[in-house]
Amino acid sequence: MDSAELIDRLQKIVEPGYVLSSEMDLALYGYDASLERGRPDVVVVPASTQEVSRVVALAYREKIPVVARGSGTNLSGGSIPLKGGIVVHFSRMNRILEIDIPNRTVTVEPGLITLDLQNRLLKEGFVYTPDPASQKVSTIGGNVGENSGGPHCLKYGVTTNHVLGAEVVLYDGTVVWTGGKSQDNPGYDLTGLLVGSEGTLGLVTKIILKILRAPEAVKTMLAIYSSLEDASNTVSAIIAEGIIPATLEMMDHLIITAVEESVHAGYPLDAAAVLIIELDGMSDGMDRQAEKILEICKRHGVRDIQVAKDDAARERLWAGRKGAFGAVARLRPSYMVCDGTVPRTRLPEVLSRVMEVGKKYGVLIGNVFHAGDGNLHPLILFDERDEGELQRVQKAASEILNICARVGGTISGEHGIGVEKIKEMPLVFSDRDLEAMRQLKTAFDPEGILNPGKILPDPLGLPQNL
Amino acid sequence: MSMTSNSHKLESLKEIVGPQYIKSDAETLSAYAVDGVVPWAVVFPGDPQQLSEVVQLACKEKLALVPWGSGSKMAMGNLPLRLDLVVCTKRLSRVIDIDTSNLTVTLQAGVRFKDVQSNLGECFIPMSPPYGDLATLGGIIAANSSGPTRLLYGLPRDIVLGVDYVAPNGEIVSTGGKTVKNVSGYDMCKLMIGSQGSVGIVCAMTLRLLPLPERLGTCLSAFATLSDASRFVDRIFETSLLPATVEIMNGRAYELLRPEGATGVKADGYATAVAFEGFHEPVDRMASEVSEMALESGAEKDIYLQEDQHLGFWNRYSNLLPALSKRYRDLVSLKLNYPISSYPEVIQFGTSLVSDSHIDHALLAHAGTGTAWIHLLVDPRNAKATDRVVSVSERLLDRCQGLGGNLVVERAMPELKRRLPTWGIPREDQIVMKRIKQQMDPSGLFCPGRFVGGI
Repeated sequence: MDSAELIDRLQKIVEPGYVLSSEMDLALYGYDASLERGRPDVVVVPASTQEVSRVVALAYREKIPVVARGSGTNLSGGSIPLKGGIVVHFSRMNRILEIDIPNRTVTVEPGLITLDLQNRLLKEGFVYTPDPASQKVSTIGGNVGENSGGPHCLKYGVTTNHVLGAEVVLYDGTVVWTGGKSQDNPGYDLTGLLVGSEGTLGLVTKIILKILRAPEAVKTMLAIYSSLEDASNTVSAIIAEGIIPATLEMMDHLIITAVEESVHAGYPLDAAAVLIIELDGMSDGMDRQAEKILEICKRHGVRDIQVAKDDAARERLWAGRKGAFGAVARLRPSYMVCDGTVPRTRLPEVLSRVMEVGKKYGVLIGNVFHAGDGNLHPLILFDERDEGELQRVQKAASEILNICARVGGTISGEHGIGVEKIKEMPLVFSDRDLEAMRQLKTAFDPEGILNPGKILPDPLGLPQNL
Repeated sequence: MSMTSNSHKLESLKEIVGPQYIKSDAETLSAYAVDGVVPWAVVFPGDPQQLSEVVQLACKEKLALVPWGSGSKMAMGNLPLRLDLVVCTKRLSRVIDIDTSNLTVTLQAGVRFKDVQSNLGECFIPMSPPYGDLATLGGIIAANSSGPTRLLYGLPRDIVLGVDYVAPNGEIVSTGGKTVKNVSGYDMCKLMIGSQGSVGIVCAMTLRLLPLPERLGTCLSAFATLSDASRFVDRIFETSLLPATVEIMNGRAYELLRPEGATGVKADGYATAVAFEGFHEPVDRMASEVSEMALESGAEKDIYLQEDQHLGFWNRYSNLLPALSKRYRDLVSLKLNYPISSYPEVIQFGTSLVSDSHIDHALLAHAGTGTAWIHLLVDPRNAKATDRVVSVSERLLDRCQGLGGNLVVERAMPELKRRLPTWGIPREDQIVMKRIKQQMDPSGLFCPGRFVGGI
């Protein structure tokens, strides 16, 4: 089928104004927040499940790749149309369909911006706890595709722990529901398999999420350190005391300086590191827990601890953390963020080895991450237009992921494998493990049209070519 | 299958596990029958490698097999279409790594929940599964088993970080890892949880731990009517309190669980059990406020269980089924699932339906998670009973399904189970489940026919 015919057929499914094929459009929808680039053959912006279903059915008949897209904030190339094809952009399917407080669920469309959902729920006194830093821009559908995390995952779990069910368009356009409002539906946990599948098993068109009553009390603290090691030792020590805070985030000096210039969160410019420690839940006993945390921080050389006095102060503290990735643009125009996760107790050692890797390859590295669950985000800062620097950065990133794998961690805590980390998959999975995943992929997508070239290395060991 | 054609297979199995770890005597075979279907051998591999080799042999010889932990939940599922081997995992009993600093434990599938739970120092596995004294972790996650504290701590899918399993081709596959944050590749752990051995036999897993709570307590209240009990429960859910359990049970169930010396509940009354775990300040506050709410909602009796009494009550709860099944050989256990807020309707409907059918029953519901059990205490001398059980099950299923839920027969005698909707009504996503099964177990060797939709 040639381009013109494809566009024509798509215009009969999706309103003509929502079938995009100009050079500019194709360029605009060929990138995401990773360093990868692709070029779709056409972009569609459907308004309903039925339209998505008919687009996928057409793609299946004609063996054309389909790549779902939310806001394109993906950090590993999951949104890139590597092999061309149809980008299905969900920006028009962005509604909250139902808030069901008695059943503790909310049903939404995939294009809904995560923060918009959270703000709407807060009005009812309820929360959706997964809070990726990208939440101002990223969509629920994207969060589902990547199994996104965020600072509150230490206590509350990641996206998959909050997805109860989904309406999904399968490889041939068939629409099915997996899971539902009710828990414990017998059968395979298809919902659990879809979350984190990066658009390679199906296109999710509705999502049922679990919501919780907003906690009665919140206490947010900023712990300021003169040593990165002291800060990372504190992290394990808090957990070892039997306290699971709602968040335990860390930022190092480089990040602090970038953030202060950009967001003015009130982080001290001369600190080697800061921890954002948040407690939430019933108010009883929270002061005692905070006291304990203070004691532990002091035992590990904390310089000072500030407790946010009110909501505004709390917002400011978090604005710094959430704006960190964006803020580093002041330092260098590009970044590669590694997403390795390690057991919490290995953090101090891994952090120092990460800094050594930076020195070895002569690249600038800043650390802003979810220390509580060992999910690092070393931000390697550079200018991607400098070819030599880009290569050194890729080597550094690979070495960092290797370190994480070898201390018993994994290569992606939140950002997904996408394209970027396919070559590192053998660090954590054997051929047999990958074969099992291929069987799952085949069961969902026998012809391999859903987001091809992502997650799984080519079985023949051939490099994935762009 | 004739003994002579199996003897060379028996020899090969002996070579893998050792002659003392394969049994084919009539008594053992009968003890390891699955829904009355008798295997021709029971195999006890000593480690994942032996388990892998057993499955490789099964693959080569096209032997149908069913895994068996401690056998507590073998009555779940359809009758097996065929059965050659029962593969018992009880010798895979190593606790591989207890890492309290990182809050994880890695152990083999045959480890019993009770045995490991008492050996984790200042930590615990945040689960409260049924058959708590008997069940192995492998069986718990294969059956997606959970208990009352799922309200606070979640389900196996929220606690399991990684699983090693033996695939139907005999290879050992590793999924997940040691960290909570892990999105490398597909979340194959989720496939292993609740799949009842149909696409893999779990051999090891890594679980999350939590620090032991400082204080424990349970508020037990007796109500004359379901309406009073649910008014009380609804009030709790309107607050910011965070109880560990909110259970509603009928008089019959409470009779089996109540502490010695505590007065019972009227035959058509209901009892509630609300437990608290955590730091002492919130626990003390919840104990006080919840007791008050109970009395304001019309509780006729209200007692508070602390520490040992609390543990004793929940231990009885967890081990209710073994106790019931000893007394009632023909016990039928139905598990219902439905949206959370439908619990009063489901309990009311279920109770009326079963009572009108003149069947004695124990009913227990997790009020906060939309799950409930109705255990039918069937009198085998009553010939009409089985017909009524079938009718009751179908009507309960119909009601749950209408609400967006389902029903599973967790236990019934094999002959009766044939007539029951074992897995409720398969849904539209069954088509994907079939394809997964076909990809992973093309020869249909693992638990043939036992799972949802007969896969």
